[in-house]
Amino acid sequence: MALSPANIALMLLGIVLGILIGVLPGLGGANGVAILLPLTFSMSPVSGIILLSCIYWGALFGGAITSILFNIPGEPWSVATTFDGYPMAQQGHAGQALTAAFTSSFVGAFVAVLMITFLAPLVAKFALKFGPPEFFAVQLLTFCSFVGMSKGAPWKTLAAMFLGFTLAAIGMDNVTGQLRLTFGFEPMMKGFDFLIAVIGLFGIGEILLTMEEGLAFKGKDGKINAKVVLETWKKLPSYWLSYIRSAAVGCWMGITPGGATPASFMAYGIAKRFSKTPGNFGKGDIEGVIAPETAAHAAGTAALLPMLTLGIPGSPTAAVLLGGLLVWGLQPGPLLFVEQKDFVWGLIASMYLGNIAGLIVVLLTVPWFAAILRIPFSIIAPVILVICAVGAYTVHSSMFDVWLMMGFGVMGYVFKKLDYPLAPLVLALVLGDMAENAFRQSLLGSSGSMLVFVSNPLVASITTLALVMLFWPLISAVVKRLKAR
Amino acid sequence: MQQETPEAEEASAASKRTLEIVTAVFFLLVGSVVMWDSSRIGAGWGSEGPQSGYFPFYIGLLMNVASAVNLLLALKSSKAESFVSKPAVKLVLAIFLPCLVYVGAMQWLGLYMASLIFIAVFMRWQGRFSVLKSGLTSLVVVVVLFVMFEIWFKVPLIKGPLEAALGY
Repeated sequence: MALSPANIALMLLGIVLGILIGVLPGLGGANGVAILLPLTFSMSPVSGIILLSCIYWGALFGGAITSILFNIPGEPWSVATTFDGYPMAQQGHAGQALTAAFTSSFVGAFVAVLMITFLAPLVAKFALKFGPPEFFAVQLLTFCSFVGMSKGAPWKTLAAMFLGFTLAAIGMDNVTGQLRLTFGFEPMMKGFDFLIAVIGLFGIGEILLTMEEGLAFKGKDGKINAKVVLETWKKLPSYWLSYIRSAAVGCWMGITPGGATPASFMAYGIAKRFSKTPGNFGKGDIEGVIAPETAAHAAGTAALLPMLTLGIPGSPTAAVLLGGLLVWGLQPGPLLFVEQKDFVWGLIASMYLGNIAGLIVVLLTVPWFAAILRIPFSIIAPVILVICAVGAYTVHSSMFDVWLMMGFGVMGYVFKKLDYPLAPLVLALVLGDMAENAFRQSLLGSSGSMLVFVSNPLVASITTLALVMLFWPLISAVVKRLKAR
Repeated sequence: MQQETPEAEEASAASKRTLEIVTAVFFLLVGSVVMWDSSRIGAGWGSEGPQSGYFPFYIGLLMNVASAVNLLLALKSSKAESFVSKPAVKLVLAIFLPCLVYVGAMQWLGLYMASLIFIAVFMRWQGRFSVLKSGLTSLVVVVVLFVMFEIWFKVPLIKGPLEAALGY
């Protein structure tokens, strides 16, 4: 049923829409899917989920295009792709970077779909053991990894991260219903949406930085032809170890609600640590594109596993898809696999096909998207600003958000110039509420004792790993000093 | 990176040290406000577990610690390095100020009209395009936006008097 011509047409439509959404900063996977959700209510659940999930795959692919060519991450999970993808494009290897990114995305997603197909029951059983302390420990690991793996100043990473947590705390406390940090200001009550922050910090901030360099447009040509694709494909198998590591990180982070964004950063950090030439990272190493893209797609896809088997979404977009299932009258959970076999296997079949179709479509359409780059910056700049404003406005149909976006834009510009990392800030803003809930529930269970985070081997090992990451700058400094003696 | 290019002949508008200090102080202010507000709503242990201010209080505290270190590091740094040169500031303001006006105008004119004017004026002013080219490009972008959002995606954007007159 999933293979009917109508569904294949929906699949292609979804992917093209998704790429468009992924390329436009401000229209993301999560809100792109959310905006299109009402259109699918009249469809059958299988057709609906195929359209929506293909938009999701398309957005995952599309995010890489702007990251590599414009240095503007279309999605938070493609931030890590900019580190090496953009330098590659600057050196004239945009075609290689794009081919590597798309192929890696495909490989990551494919590994995750294979995992969903075969390991779903087993993995779900393991994740079922997770209580709040384990969830918080995983979050802690994610954030400590930023400190351990960022190349910048650790204190600045920490400050930016805590600012993100602060912004996440603004608004109504979802446990007690109390208003926090709103100071009686009405628009603050619903809290900050991370999308506004992402649009402002990355979109507006980047435009300001680009202007500073005197209207010279920094976007690179996205020429891609069969020869470049084939040559890059020949090179990729030699990075098999990086693929395996990144796919594993991605699958893990997707299942536990770490999500695609931290997965891409962790995979990037790991690839850099294990690399024979870590000095090349950040300067246009193809492995720096492969690792985060593989992990982001593996995580993005794997995030559907707990959503389907447990009803716990592993990412914001998975949460939107979950909302879709409920509207179609499907109750996600273990019973879904028994009662709605057609639906589940239809979805899984569409994951395989959607990703193959996605790879082909994205490779064919890149030159078209790259044509945008030949347009002078004095046209592009106001158009991007308009699109950013539209994106910010549509999140909650609120003018306050548009002003907020401008504020985040100034912040992004200053922070970027002072080397305050933006990714931990955004991530803390996204995951802040989740982390806080897990933290409070853990403490509630232990009546306030912090020992709950080392109370069993699983949570203790995650916590220990997190602390090692946190103190990594200190540890490596001490090790260096000892070696120097 | 771009900052490393020597800009000795270009006058600096602000030193990097100044901006570092301002940013660290900004963080300290935010951190202090967070701690103050959290202790106001209760940062301790209530009858049903941690109170609303418990988690944010420590976030604010840790943010202050990190920012204090950043401030000390900034105070010790050299005054020589430039944050931004004077010509660069002019360019940044050349897009930022019109953008502020644009967002302000959006409230009264609606998003479509404001965008139409913003894109056309910016193209004419900064890109030196002809009036015809600027106007047409701007019109095409706005029409595409309108079709995409109002008709295709069915997401209403903020509208002004012109749309109301046309019956939208």
